[in-house]
Amino acid sequence: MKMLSRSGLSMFMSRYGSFGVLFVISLAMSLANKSFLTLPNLVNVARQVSINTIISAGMTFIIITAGIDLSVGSLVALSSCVAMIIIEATGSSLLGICTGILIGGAAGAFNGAFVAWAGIPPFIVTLAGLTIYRGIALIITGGTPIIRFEGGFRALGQGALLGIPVPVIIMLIVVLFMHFLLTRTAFGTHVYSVGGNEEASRLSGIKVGKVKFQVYVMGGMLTALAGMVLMGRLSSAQPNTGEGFELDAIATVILGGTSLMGGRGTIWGTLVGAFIIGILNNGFNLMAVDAHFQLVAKGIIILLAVLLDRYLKRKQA
Amino acid sequence: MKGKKLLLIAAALLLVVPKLFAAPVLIAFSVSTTSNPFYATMAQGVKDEAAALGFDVIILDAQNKIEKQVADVEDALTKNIKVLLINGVDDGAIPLAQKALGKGIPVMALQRNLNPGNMTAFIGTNNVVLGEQLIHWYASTLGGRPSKVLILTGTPGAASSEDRIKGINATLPKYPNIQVLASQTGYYDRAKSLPVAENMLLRFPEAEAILCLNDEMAMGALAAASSMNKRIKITGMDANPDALKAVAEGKLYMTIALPPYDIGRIGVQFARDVLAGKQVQAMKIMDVNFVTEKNVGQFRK
Repeated sequence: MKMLSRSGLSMFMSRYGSFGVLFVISLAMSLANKSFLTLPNLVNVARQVSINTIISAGMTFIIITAGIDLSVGSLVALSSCVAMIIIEATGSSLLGICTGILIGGAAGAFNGAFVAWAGIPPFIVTLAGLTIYRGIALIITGGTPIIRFEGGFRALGQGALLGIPVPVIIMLIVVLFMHFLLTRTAFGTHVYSVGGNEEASRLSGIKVGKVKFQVYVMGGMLTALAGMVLMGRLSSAQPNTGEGFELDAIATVILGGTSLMGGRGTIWGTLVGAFIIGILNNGFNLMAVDAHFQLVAKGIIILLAVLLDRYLKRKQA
Repeated sequence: MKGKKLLLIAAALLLVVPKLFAAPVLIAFSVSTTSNPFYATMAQGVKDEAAALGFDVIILDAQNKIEKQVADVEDALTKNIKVLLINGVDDGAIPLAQKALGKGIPVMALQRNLNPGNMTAFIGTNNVVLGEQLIHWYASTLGGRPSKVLILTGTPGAASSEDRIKGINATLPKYPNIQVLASQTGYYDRAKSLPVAENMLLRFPEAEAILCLNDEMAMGALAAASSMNKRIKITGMDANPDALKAVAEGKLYMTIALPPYDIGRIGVQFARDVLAGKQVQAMKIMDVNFVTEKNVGQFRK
C-alpha cells in the first residue's frame, strides 16, 4: 500500500526508472512478434540472462565502490577450464566446481589487493587481469576446448527444478542474497559509503581497503559461478570463451541505474538491466533482424534506454 | 680416333659431374604460423612431398607476424631458392611475392590468395566455393524433398563469413526446395551462438536443420538443441576434434574437413612442374571433404 502512495510511487520510479524502459521494450517486442510473449520464450530469456546477471550482480557492488572489473570475461574462461580439468582428472563434478569458484575468489583477491592496497586504478589492475587470466586459461588447456558429455556439472546449466531451469534458480538466489547484503547489512552500507565519499568513510572509521578487497573477491567468485553455469550449458570449457562479457556486464549495471561514479545503485536495477539486454537480443533473433543492423540498433537502444531512465527519474523526483 | 673418344668422355664427364656435386634444388615455404594445427599440417605436406621429389626445403614459421615473414622471405631470397611457397600472414605478403617474381622466382600462394598478378598459382580452398558446396551437399541429402533450414553465420564483416554467405546465397536459387527461415550471426563463438540458436529454434520449431559456418557455432547449436530437448540436423565446418567426436557419436550431422596436407603437397608438385617448364593451373581450388557418421573414422586420429 505504501508503494502506491504518491511519494512512494515517485520514490519507486526514481529508484527503478529502468522498469519503465523494460516495460516499453517488452511491449514493443510482443507487438512486433507473436512468439515473444509465450511462456517457453520467457523461460528461455530468463535462462539466457542468468549468466550475465550473476556476473553483473558482483559488478554492481564493484561499480558502487567507484571501481570496475574488466577481467570478468577472462575469468569465466579460466575458472571453467580449471574446473573442467579437475573434473576430467577426478571424475568429481563437486570438487571441480568448488575449485573453479575458489579460483574466481583468488583472482578477485589478486584484483582487489592491487586496487585496495597498492593504489593502482581498478581499470588498470583489471585490464592486466583480463590478459593474465586469459593467458593462464590458454596455457593450462593448450588452447583447445575441453568437452565432456557426462557428469553432474551439466545440471548447473541444463537441469530444471519444478520446471524452472537451474541457471534461473541460481540467478534468483544470487540476486536475493546480494540485495540482502547491499540493503540490510553494515557491509552494504559501507559499500555505498566508500563509493559515495571515500575520505569521509575513512574518517568515520570504515576500513576502506578491506571493503574494496571484499567486493572484488565476491565479484570474482560470482563470475566463476557464472563460468560454472556456462560450462554446464555448453558441456565444455573453453579457453577463449567470454570475450566481451565485461562490456555486457557494465552495460547491464549502467542500464540498471547504477552510477559509474559510485555511491549509487541497486541489485534490482541490475536484474532489470540484464533483462533489457536479454530481451533485445532475443527479440532481434525472433524477428530475424539482419546481423549488421543489430549492432547499430542495439547501441542506439541502449543509449535511448539510459536517456529515458534519466528522464523518468527527473520527472518523478 | 683415340683423341676423339677421350674428348667425348671428357665432355660427358663435364656434363654429368657438376650434376652429381650440385646441391638439390632448394625451395622455401614461408608459413603464417605452425602453432595452428591447420598450418602445421600444411607444412608437413610440403616437407613430405619435397622429400619424395628430392627437393631441399626450408620451412619458415612467421609466428603470425608479418614483419617476421618479411625478414624470413628476404633472407630466403638471398639463399638462391628456386621456388617460393608462401602462406601469407596478411596482405602484407603481397610485396614479398612481387619481389620474388621480380627476381624470376615462381611464387605458389598456399591458402591465402595474394591476388592474380602477384603469384604464379594459388592452391587452397575458397570460402565462396565452400558456401556453394555446403548447399549442393545439403541438397544432395534431400533428394528433392522440401526442407526448412536455419543458418548461423560468423562474425559480421569477417571475410570468411561474408564469402561463405555469398556462396550460399548464390547457390540457394538452384534449390527451390530449400527454404531458409532465418539467418543470424553466432560470431563464430560457441557461447554466443548458444542463445541465438535457442531463440531461432523457439521461433521456428519447424526447422529441419541448422547450417553453421564453423564448428564452434555448430557445437553451440548442439547445446541449444539439447537444452530444448530437440533433435535437429546440425552441420559445421573445420572438422575440429570435438566436432569430429560429436559426428562420431551421431550428435552432429556433418562437418567439413579442409585438406591442408594436400594443399602443401600440391604446392610442391606445382613447384616441380614450373621448374620443368610446364604450365600449371593458376587457381587450384581444392575439394573439401564432407565428414558424416559414415566416414568420420578416416578423419579422427
